[in-house]
Amino acid sequence: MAVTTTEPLPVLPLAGLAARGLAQLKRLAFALIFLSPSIILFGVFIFYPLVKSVYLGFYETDPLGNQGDFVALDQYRTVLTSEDFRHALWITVLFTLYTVPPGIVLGLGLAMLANQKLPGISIFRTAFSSTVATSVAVASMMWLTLLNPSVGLINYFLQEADLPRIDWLNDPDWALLAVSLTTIWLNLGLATIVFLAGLQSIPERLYESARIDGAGRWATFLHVTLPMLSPTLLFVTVVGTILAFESFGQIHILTRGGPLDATTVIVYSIWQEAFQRFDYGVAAVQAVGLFILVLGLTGLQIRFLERRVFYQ
Amino acid sequence: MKRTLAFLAILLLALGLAACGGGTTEGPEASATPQVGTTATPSGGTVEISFWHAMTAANQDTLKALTDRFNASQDEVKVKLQFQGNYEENLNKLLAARGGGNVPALIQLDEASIQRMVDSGLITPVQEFIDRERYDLSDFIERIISYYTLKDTLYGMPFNVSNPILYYNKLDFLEVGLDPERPPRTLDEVRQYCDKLTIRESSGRISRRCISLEIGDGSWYFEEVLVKYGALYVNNGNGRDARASEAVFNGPEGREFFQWWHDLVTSGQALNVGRNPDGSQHFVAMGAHQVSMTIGTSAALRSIFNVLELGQVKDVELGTGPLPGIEGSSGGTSPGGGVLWILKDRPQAEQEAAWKYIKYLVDPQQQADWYAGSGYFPIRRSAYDLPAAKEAEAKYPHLKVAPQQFLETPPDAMQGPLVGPFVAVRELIRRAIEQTIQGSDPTQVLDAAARQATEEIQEYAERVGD
Amino acid sequence: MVTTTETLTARKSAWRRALRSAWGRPWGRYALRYAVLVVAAAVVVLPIYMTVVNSLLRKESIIAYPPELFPFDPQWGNFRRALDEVPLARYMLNSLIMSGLIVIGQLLTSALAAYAFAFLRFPGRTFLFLLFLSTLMVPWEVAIIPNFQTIQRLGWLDSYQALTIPFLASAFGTFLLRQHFLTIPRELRDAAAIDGYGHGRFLLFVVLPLSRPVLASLAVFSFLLAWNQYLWPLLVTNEDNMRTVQIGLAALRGREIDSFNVVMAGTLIAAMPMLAMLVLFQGQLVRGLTAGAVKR
Repeated sequence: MAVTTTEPLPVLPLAGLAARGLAQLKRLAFALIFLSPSIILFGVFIFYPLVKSVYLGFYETDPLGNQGDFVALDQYRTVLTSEDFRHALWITVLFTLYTVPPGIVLGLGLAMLANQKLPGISIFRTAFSSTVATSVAVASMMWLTLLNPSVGLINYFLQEADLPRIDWLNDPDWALLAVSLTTIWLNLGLATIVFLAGLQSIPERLYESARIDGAGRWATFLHVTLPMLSPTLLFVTVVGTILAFESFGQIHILTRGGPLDATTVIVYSIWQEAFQRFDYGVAAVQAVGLFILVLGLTGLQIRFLERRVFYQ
Repeated sequence: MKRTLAFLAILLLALGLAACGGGTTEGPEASATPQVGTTATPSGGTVEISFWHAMTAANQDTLKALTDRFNASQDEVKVKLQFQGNYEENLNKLLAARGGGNVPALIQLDEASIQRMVDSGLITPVQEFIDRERYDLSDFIERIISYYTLKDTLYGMPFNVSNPILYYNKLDFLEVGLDPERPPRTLDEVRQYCDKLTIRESSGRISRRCISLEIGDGSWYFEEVLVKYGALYVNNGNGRDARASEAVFNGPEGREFFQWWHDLVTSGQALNVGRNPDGSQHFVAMGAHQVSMTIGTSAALRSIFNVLELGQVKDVELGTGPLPGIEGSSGGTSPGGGVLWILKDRPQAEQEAAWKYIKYLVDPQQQADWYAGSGYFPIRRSAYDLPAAKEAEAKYPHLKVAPQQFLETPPDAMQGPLVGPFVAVRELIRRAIEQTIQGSDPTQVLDAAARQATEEIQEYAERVGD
Repeated sequence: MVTTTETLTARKSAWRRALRSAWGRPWGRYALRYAVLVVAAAVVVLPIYMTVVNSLLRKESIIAYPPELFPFDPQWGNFRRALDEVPLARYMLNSLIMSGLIVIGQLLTSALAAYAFAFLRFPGRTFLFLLFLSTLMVPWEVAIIPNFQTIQRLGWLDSYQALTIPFLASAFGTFLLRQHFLTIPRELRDAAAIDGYGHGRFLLFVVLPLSRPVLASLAVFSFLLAWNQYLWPLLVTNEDNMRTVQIGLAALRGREIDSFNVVMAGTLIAAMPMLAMLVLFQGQLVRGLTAGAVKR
């Protein structure tokens, strides 16, 4: 990934050095013609806001939503150590655990099913990847009906199976699971597509040699499929985690963060503080907290998982 | 390439279909970069204004019909309806947009918005227009006008007034031997009825609960139950004598209400339908025979008639009654529902246009039609005598329950509370309800809510001052 | 009829025997495989199927209990109502314009930047490249408050500028294109230079045509992301004529609380463009989605 641009500097006379510096500058200026659109956009909409968020965290906000007193790091200390923030953090972690590993297992399972050589398999491939076509709003709307406590299909099935009905979205013990279920389904198509592509990129000869070696199905899966899929697994894990950390729409539509904050993930909490309570200061601190968290987590994941990834 | 074309073709087909189907649909030609909030269009001198409303289901259809009628009746003002979500979403959208020039000329917010809007400096009091024109308010119901009046100034114009009422299924009452014409009047009676109405199978499983309770408007029912009894919500005469500085809703009456809610849900007699953001789930539960009663706003009546008239909902015969109160309540409620605010950030011409539209909406004829088409009851005395209202009441006697309950209010009855940070305080009440139905002690959670509410109120007062 | 444990175990072992013998035969193996596929597909597609059913039910049937599982009396008018009640067509057009502008913008800015990183030599190249990549580490939500304030101060609420401009550059796109550009032989550049092609013409007439598949993948990928945006459009749009379909759908649901059948019809309409894209562009979609995963 790293690019090597530095060339050994030859010893040059002073005039040559100046000329060379000028040429370098010219090159940079020329390159900037190509780079400036992106640089300006990143500057205005990513780097400046990042700094501004840190800055906003130094100020309190009054009940009418105006910037209040400068409190230095006090707000960071109180918000980041508060019960609410820890709770939101915990919910975010739980939500990630509920959605990412099951999503990977199910996606891989479906991809392996769809990777069989059977007539008409493409119909099943399309069916398995169909949820990619549903957006967050569409998927949430669909599950809202299925999960309806009074007339939803899932409770109907439960009742028919003589199981107790579950108040999916209004019971603090179930709400996060219900939102996770929706999210897993929503992301299932994407996971299936990615795993299927990964499976198809595994050369047939590897399976053949495994067969010659007398490896069973499980051994083949463990020693051929999984190692060959490791880049895909890394990708799905990292992207899945980022998606989980940034989930908002399904929570906004299904539970509004409730009941009793049972589904208030950090992003929802930021939105609530900023655009419901208009406490920009607190929201900014939470946003900075989220940033540090994602930074650390992504770094860790890549570090930890990259060692195990097998590149062809 | 072929695929791109096919994709575009499908897309165009979809859009074309939509354009033909949608009579109200704005075509793609409608201004590519709309200067929104819409400024006055010079052509023909028509002033176009945006009106952010929160009406749903039948009420939305009726509001649309009234607005179409208004737009067609004259060519000086054209009102564009914009649905933003419920009242709180409306308010939050407004507060987020302020300062950016993207506020509407007119916005509909709930009764709890009054102190906040007065303090915000975002509005032009309708009193200014009233004084200028010597607009006559004598036909308006006093108690509604006085609710929105602070320091002798009417700030926003009430438009849609509702009350919580009790809905029940008469057939279920008959089934368990209760008089279908006598709904429970008090919280205690609801408990007694629930003992009969809850159906348990021999295995102990509950096959039908007694009542569905929603938390979203639960904070409003709580306020109304207190007003009905004459118990204060905040000090200083519910914030009417002077700005409130303390929440006092955790007296014996508040505790009784919380205990009631706690007991019904934890015993399994009540079905909790949660925050119920779309405001329909407590009714759905009744329609689906999961419960026999519910408490809901009278503003849902017309939408419910519409569903029932389709004749497909089996075994439901609708009954209605006043909001059950605490034993010994003197029977006065506070006007719930919505109020219209004119925003002062908009140009004068738009504010005038908004005022014109307001006058149209609160005219007796429109109020009578609104009553028949929604369940919100008229704010004008003369509206009740108009044929439109009389006919509607004859056809749907349920409509009369809410206005009767409200109009029976004794003249000296207490007025509903004024709270600056009302959104935050209501949120505390809802959380407290959520906590208590999870098993927490109702008195403790209510006391905690009152403490936090007092903090909110004091912090707000410190910042806003007088 | 009482099921005892004994009969249950008996049934179970009977099942097992039947399965084993089916597995032994070639047709049985096929049948079992298809059975598993069908069950899996049914579970995945169930929510979509129920949406189709619900979108065709009568208003009062949708609150029927037990739920109706087949629309025996299909109400096609629901789709018409969904389009009448809210300007769904306008919402879709807005989503399309927004996503289209974002795709074009990202392709342009990414191609330019990627070209510089792949073909130009200049001081600070590594630093700038890492700077680009670092933007991938910033979740959009972290920047959302200042960005909202910026848009508001510019008076851009309810405009296509607000919906698109913050997303016109993409570090992912730049990275993806650069990786591809690096595979283009440098001799091509030298030959083009001899023919008198400057960098601009070389990019336009040689590099971009050679990169069509990657550009298509990037386009499909960013279209998908843009189309699915929820939080930002929710914040910056208030007026009906600027709402995107995701937000419009939530609004439809908020308004039509008594007609969930109409909401479901609207949901299906809103899903149509994406469904069409899935069917027609499956190849590009898969490449776009897997670009980061498989290729390195």
